[in-house]
Amino acid sequence: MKNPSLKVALCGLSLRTPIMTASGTFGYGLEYHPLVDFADLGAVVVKGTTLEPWLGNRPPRILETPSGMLNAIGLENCGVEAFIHDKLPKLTPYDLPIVVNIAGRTVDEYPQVIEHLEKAQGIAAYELNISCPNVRQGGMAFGTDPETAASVTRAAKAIASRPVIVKLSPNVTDITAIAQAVEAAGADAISLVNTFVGMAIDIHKRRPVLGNKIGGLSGPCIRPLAVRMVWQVAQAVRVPVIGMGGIDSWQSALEFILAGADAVGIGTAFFVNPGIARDINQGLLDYMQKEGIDSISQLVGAAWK
Amino acid sequence: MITCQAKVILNREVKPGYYLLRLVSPEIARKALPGQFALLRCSTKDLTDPLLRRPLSFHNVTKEQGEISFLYQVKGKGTKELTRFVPGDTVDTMGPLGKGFQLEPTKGPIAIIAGGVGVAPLVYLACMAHDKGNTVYTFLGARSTESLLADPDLVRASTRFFAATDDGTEGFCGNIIELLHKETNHLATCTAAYICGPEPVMAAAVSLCAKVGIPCQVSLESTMACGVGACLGCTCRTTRSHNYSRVCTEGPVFDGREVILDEKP
Ligand SMILES: Cc1cc2nc3c(=O)[nH]c(=O)nc-3n(C[C@H](O)[C@H](O)[C@H](O)COP(=O)(O)OP(=O)(O)OC[C@H]3O[C@@H](n4cnc5c(N)ncnc54)[C@H](O)[C@@H]3O)c2cc1C
Ligand SMILES: Cc1cc2nc3c(=O)[nH]c(=O)nc-3n(C[C@H](O)[C@H](O)[C@H](O)COP(=O)(O)O)c2cc1C
Ligand code: FES
Repeated sequence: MKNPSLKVALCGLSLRTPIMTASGTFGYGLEYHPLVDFADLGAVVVKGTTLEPWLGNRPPRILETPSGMLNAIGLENCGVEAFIHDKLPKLTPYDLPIVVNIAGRTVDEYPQVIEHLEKAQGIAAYELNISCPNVRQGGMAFGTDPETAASVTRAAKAIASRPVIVKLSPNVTDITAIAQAVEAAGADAISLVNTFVGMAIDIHKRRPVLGNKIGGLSGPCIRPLAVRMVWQVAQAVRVPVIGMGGIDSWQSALEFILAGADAVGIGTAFFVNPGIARDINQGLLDYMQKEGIDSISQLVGAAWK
Repeated sequence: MITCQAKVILNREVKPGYYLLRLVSPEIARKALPGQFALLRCSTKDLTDPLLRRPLSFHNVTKEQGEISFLYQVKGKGTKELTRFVPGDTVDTMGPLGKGFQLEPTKGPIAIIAGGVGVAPLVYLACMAHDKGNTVYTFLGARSTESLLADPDLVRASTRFFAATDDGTEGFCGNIIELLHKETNHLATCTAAYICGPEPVMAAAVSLCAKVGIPCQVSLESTMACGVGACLGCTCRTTRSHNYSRVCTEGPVFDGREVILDEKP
């Protein structure tokens, strides 16, 4: 048999492997260099970028929980202009598709960030983080209401010349309704899941541990919740799906692919094992070799039948 | 910065609740500087709890033997798991990370000020300063003799060694700040001070250094995830800028004048 292939085509991007980084866990790409070999990645998704610089939340910002972690970074970032001038040029020389994750406080801020990014070279796609609170709607996240999620998507699509991936919040009653709404609004792909809202209390101080009180839960503890959502969304939409949430091995990456994910995102696992992408690629290749499968795409959604 | 499976040569309780861990990693030993740290995986490979790596400062490094050692206090899940490692096991170790101490270029006297397990990053520094020919005044505080971490290498590197215990079971009876006040004549002759310990101790030591007019550096702690500046989880406030600084990359060692410390015990 010829060598199995991990290549994936995803809304116009060609990825050498389905392994992508999850936004916010991999900085602007170079922090982990040279611990992570870019040849092991299909694409890099950078930290959430906003129109103006955001300061972020007060510490403590992270806390370990059983088989997971809570974070409340508060989208600290240097703003889109500094991103374009200081961060992006350092990453573009590498042979690796760059996806820019975008966040905002109002619907209008998303296309405004894209307007700046359109002038920059070397970006492969945009990913809209719609898990952040919408200040115009009393802080309710854009991604918790199908109509608001669709309007963010439409506003972005109206101006973007590059593919738009919409990243869904799992903190909703019916994630398929949101997925279908953003697909109808023109999303080129859907990624899921962002973190689950959670919190922890310091029993000695009798106060929330995180400076922001509540935070987002990630890591292996959310994996079954995320797999269920990917399973449902992938069957409810036609656009490609990027699955993530607690992936920390080739087996767990494969689980998402079998549930219908065309590609997968790795977040928290990088903190534990910076070599995780290499390990997953190797594990997937060995599995495919053994099972006589020549393209990873044959396994996408293979658990549906 | 590398990750490696470092072989354990020693993991011994030196005082109740405090362990000395010595690992073999020639690559890390070659590059490690005083004040830098490593991230250690405290569980065997496939366990997800404890999940994140734990940061520990280099306690001492012997480049010739390719050995790195850590002095750690058993605090919670991670450090408790770490006590289970025995010689021959390997620990998944990532390092060296962060920005360490800037050692004074002159041969002037320096002060080492440590509270509790805060002594951990200062031993390597004291040894290096001693080898370079600096006079080293060491001020070490603890609750009692049971937890006073007077490492033999530190004692050897110190020109003068001052200990303080809260209960008076060893050295000066009182806390380290009271000891420093008593010894300000020594402190005032120093060209720099290097401080690590609980935040209120560091805050008091920093203001004392300011009072006697000597520059100082402090090593901060923070909860960490990535250790390389990617996650923005470990940030602290400094007077350097209006933005947050990352303890893992801009620190853990900061200029005493720029950190904002919590003075409350
Ligand atoms: C750069 C750096 C260098 C360091 N160097 C050293 C060193 O050389 N030596 C050393 O001993 N330490 C050092 N530390 C500190 C060390 O990293 C921590 O002590 C260690 O990570 C604790 O891990 P743990 O799993 O044992 O404790 P954890 O389980 O992470 O818990 C830490 C503490 O928090 C408490 N806790 C957890 N959850 C709650 C809750 N809900 N309410 C109240 N309390 C709670 C636990 O009981 C425990 O006391 C360093 C830290 C940094 C950032
Ligand atoms: C420290 C941290 C920061 C994050 N920042 C962002 C962000 O800026 N934008 C975003 O869309 N998702 C962010 N996320 C969510 C991750 O991209 C990912 O969706 C989530 O962590 C689940 O994957 P995991 O379990 O593999 O980490 C962040 C997660 C973590 C742990
Ligand atoms: S621990 Fe991730 S930025 Fe410092």
